[in-house]
Amino acid sequence: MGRVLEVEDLSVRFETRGGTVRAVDGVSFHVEEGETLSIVGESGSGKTVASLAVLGLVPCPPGVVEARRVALEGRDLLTLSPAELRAVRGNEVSMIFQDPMTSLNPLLTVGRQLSEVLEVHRGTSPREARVLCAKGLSEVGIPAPEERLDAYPHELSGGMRQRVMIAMALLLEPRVLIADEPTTALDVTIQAQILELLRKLQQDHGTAIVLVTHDMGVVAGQADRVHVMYAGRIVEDSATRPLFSNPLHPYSRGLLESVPTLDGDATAKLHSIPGQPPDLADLPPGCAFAPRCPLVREHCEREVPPLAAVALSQDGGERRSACFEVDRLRDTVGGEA
Amino acid sequence: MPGERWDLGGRDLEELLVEAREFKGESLWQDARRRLLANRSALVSLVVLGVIGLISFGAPLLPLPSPQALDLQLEPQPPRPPWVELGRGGWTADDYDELSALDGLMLRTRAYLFGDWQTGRWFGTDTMGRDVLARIVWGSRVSIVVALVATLCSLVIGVTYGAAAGLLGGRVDNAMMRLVDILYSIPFIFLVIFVLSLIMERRSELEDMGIRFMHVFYVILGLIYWLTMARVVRGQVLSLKSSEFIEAARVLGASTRRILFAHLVPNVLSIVIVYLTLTIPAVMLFEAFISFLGLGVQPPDVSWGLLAVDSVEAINPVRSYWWLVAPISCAMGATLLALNVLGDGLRDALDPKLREKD
Amino acid sequence: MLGFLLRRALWFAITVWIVITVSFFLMRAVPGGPFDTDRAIDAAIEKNLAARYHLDWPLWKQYLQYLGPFNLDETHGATLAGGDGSSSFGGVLVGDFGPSFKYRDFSVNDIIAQSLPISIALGTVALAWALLLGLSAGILSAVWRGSGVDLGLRLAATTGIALPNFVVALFLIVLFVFEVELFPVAGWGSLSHLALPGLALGGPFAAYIARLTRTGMLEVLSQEYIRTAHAKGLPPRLVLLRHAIRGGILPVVSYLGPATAGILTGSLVIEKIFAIPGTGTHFVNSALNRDYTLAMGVTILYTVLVYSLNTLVDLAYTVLDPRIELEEA
Ligand SMILES: Nc1ncnc2c1ncn2[C@@H]1O[C@H](COP(=O)(O)OP(=O)(O)O)[C@@H](O)[C@H]1O
Ligand code: SF4
Ligand SMILES: [Mg+2]
Repeated sequence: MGRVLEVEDLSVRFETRGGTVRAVDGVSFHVEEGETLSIVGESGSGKTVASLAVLGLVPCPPGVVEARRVALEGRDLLTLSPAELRAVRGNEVSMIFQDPMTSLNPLLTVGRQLSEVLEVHRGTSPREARVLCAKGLSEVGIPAPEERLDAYPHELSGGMRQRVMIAMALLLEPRVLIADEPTTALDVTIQAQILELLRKLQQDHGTAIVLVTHDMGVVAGQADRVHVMYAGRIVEDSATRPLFSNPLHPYSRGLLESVPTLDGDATAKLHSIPGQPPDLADLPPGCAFAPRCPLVREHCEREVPPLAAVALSQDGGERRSACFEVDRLRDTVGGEA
Repeated sequence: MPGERWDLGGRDLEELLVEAREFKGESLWQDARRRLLANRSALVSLVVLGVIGLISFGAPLLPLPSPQALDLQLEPQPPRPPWVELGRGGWTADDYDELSALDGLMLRTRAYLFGDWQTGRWFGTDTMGRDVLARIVWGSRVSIVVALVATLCSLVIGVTYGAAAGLLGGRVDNAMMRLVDILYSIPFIFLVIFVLSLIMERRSELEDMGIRFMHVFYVILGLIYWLTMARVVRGQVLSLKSSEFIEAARVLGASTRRILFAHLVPNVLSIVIVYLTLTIPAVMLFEAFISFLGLGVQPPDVSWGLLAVDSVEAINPVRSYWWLVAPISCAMGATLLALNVLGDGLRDALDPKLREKD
Repeated sequence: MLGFLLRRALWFAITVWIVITVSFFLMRAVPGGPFDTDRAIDAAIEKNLAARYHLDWPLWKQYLQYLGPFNLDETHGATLAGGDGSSSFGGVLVGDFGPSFKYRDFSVNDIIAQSLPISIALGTVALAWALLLGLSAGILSAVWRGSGVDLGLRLAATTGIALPNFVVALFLIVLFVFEVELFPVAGWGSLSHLALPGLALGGPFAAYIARLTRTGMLEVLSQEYIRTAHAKGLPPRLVLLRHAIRGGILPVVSYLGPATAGILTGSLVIEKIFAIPGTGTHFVNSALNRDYTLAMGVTILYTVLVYSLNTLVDLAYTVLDPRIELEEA
C-alpha cells in the first residue's frame, strides 16, 4: 500500500509577545491507504497545530510553518498556490474537529453547510447537492436526513452534530481524513458510536485516517500505528499492539499508566504523570521530558535525544524512540516476548 | 449542592470567606490599576482631563478678560496681538454675574497676582466683542458641573433602583425591570424638551421660589441617564446573589445588611465606576445639545453648548469666523474624547470580560 | 411569533398610554400652562382650543376627550370643531393631535404630514450613511486587524463617537460647502440637500457601528466554524461573506433600534443647522414657542415610531439568528 500522505520535518512556531512558541518541532509522519495513524499526547503538545499545518490552516502571523515536504500522493502541498491548496482542502484531505458544537456555523442550516462543499469543489447544482447531502447524512447514520438538512446545528444533539461534521468531511470521498480529537467532547456511549462509524467508513472507502487524540483508550481501539507526541516532538513511533504491551519511552509509559482499567482497583487514584508539560516558549535544552522523567540521567538535560530505531516489533514493524535510556526502560518493563 | 464544597480542610468557613473576599477585592483593584497604568492612551486622557479640570476650577485665578464684558464692535475680531495687555475688565466681582465665596477669593488672588494685566485676544472675540478664550474657560465650568451633577443624580437613582430590583428579586424585580423597559422605549429627549419648555415658561416664578432653572435642568438630565445604570447594577447583583460565596455567607447566617455591604458593594462598585465614566461624556453631549436648542443653559450664563450655537451662527458663505468654530470644537472634542478613552480604559481595566477583543 | 407580536402590542399600548397621560397631565399641571385662561393668544386659536378641549369640563373628562374617540359632549354630539375648525375631533388614539397653538390655519396633523416625510428621508439617508461607513470600516478593521488601516479607522471611530454631531456638521459644511463646493449650503429640495446633513447626522452612529462591527467580526473570526469553513476549501471571500459577516454584524442589528431613536433625536439639531423644514425643526420651534399640542403630538408620534422600529429590529434579529426565540421579549 502506498503512502497517501507524507509529512517530513514539519516545524511550526508562533512569534508571540511572550517569545517564540515552538508548537511543532521537526515532526515527520506518513499514513497509508486504509490505515489509521494515531497521534497521541497530552493537550498542548502541538497535535492540533501539526494537523492544521498539513492543510496550511495555521494562522500566519503569528505562525511560521516550515517543512521539508508535505506530500499528498507524491504532490508537494507546500509548493501549491493558495487556490490549488483550497482545491485540496475538504476535497482530497478533510478535517474534523474536536467540538462539534462550535465547529458548525450556528447561523446556517446543516444542508447549507454540507452543500457548499459540493458547490465550491464540484460546482454541483443546489438541487443535486441536496440529494447528495441527504445521502451523505444517511451514510453516517442520521435518521430522516432530508429533514435534518433544514435543521440548524443547535437543534441537533452533540453526537448528531459530530456525525454531520463527519458527513461533511467525507462528502467528496477524500484520500485522507484528519480527525482532531473527534470524540473528546462527546459522552462515552456516543464516543463509541462515532469511533465505530469512523471504522466502518474507513473500511468502505479505504480512507487514510490521521486520528489525533489524547486518549489512549481511543488509540487502542482505532489505530494501526501510533506516534506519541510530547512538547512538539514525536517521542515514540510504534505499531499499536507493541506500544501497549511494551512502551519504549518513559512518557508513553506514563500515558499508558494513566489509562483507567476495568479490572483495576476502583478506588485507586488514577495514575497521572507528575509535573506539567514544559513551556513551549522556553524549552529545556535537552530532553523536554527530563523534568518529569523518572529515568532521567544527567546527559538527558544537555542533549536532545534523537528519534532513533530501537527494536523490531513482533510483526516486524520498526519501532523508534527518542530516549537515551531505552534499554533501562526495557529492563524495568520486561523485554518483548 | 456537591458535598465536597464544604470540605474545607478543617478551616472555619467564615475565615475562608473573609480571606477569599479580601483576596478578590485586593487583586481586583490592584489588577485594575496595573492594567490602567499600562494603557497609555487612558493615562494621557487622565492627564488631559486633570488639566481641563484644573483650568476650569481655577478660572477666576487666570488673568482672563471677563467672559461677559461686552465690547460692542461691528465685527468679531480675529486673534491678533498684543498677546498680553492691560485690562479690559475681569478682575473685580462686578465683571461677573454670580460668584461663590471661593470664586471671589480666587478673583482677589488673581487681582493681587496679575494686577491689571491679562491675556490679549488669544482666540479673538465674538459678535458681541466678548473674549472667546474666557468664554470657553468659563463655559467649561457650567458644562462640567452639569455633567457631574446630572451623572450623580443618575448614579443615585440607577444604583438604588437596580440594586433594589436585584436584591428583592422575583415578581418585584420583574415589574421594576418591565418599567425600565417601557422607559427605554420612550424617546426621552422629546419628553425632556417638552418638560423643559413647560418649565422655561415659569422660570422667573421658580426663581422667586428659590429654585434655579439650572438646578431643575441638572436633575432632569440625571433622570434620563439612570436606566442603563439600573440595568447593569441589577444584572451584577443578580449574578453575585447566585454566586457561591454569597450563598455560603447566607448559609452561615450572615445578615442581609452584612452581605450587602461586605460582599455586594465592593463587587458592584467597579462596574458602576465604568458606567459612570461613560455617562459623563454622554451627559455633557446632551447638555450641549439642549443648550444648542436654546432650552438649556441661558445667557448670560455661558456653556459649551451655547458657544456651539455661536459657532454655527458664525458660519456663513459670506464670511466664516473660524476662531468662533475651531477653539470650541477642539475643547469640546478633546474633553469628550478623553472621557470616552478613559471610560474605555477603565472598563478594560476593571472588567476584562467586557474587553473589546484585540 | 403571534404571541410575541401580541405581547409587544400590549406593552406598546401601555407605553404609549403612559406617554400620553404623563404629557397631558404635565401640560395641565404647570401653572400658567397652555390652558391658563389669562394668556394672551390669538382669539381664533382661543376659540378652537375652547371648543376642542372643553376647558370648562372637569379634568378627567378633558383627559378622555383628548385621549380618544369618546363622545362626551351631550350638547353637540360627535361633530365638534377640529383643528381647522371643520373636521370632527377624534382624539389621540385615532391619530388626531388637535389644533396647533401657533399656526392658526394648521392642525398638528397637517404640520406633521408636511414635515415627517422630510425627516424620514433625512433619517433614512443618515442611517444609510451610518451603515455604509460603519459596516465597511468595521469589517476592514477586523480583517486587517493591527494594521495601519485598522489603527486609523479605530481612531476615527473613537473621535466620531466623542464629537457632537453639530461639530461634525460644522466641519462638513466648511469642508464641502465652502472649500470644495460640492453641496448646497442648506435648505430643502433635492436629495443632494440631504447628503451632507445625512452624513453629519449619521457620522457618530457610523463610528459606533464601526466599533460594534469590528468587535463582532473579531469575535466571529476567532470562532472554530471559521476554521472549519477554511478547512472545507472555501475561498476567503466566501468565508467572509457567508460565514463571518452575518454573525459579525448581529450586534449591529440589535443596535439599530437605539440608533434610529438617536438619529431622530439628532435630527433636531441637524435640521436646525441645515435649515431643513422637518418634524424636528417644528418640534424645537414648538418647544420654544410653547406650541404644546404640536410638541405633544411629535413626542407621541416618535414614541410610536421608535417602538415599532424596535419591534421590527427584534424580528429581523430572529430571522438572522435562528438560535434566538422570540418568547422572552
Ligand atoms: N495561534 C496561536 N498563537 C500562539 N500560540 C499558539 C497558537 N495556536 C496554538 N498555539 C500554541 O501551540 C501549542 C500547541 O497547541 P495545540 O496544537 O493546540 O495542542 P494540542 O492540540 O496538542 O492540545 C500550545 O502551547 C499553544 O499555546
Ligand atoms: S531521554 Fe532521559 S529524560 Fe528524556 S525520556 Fe529518556 S530518560 Fe527521560
Ligand atoms: Mg488540540
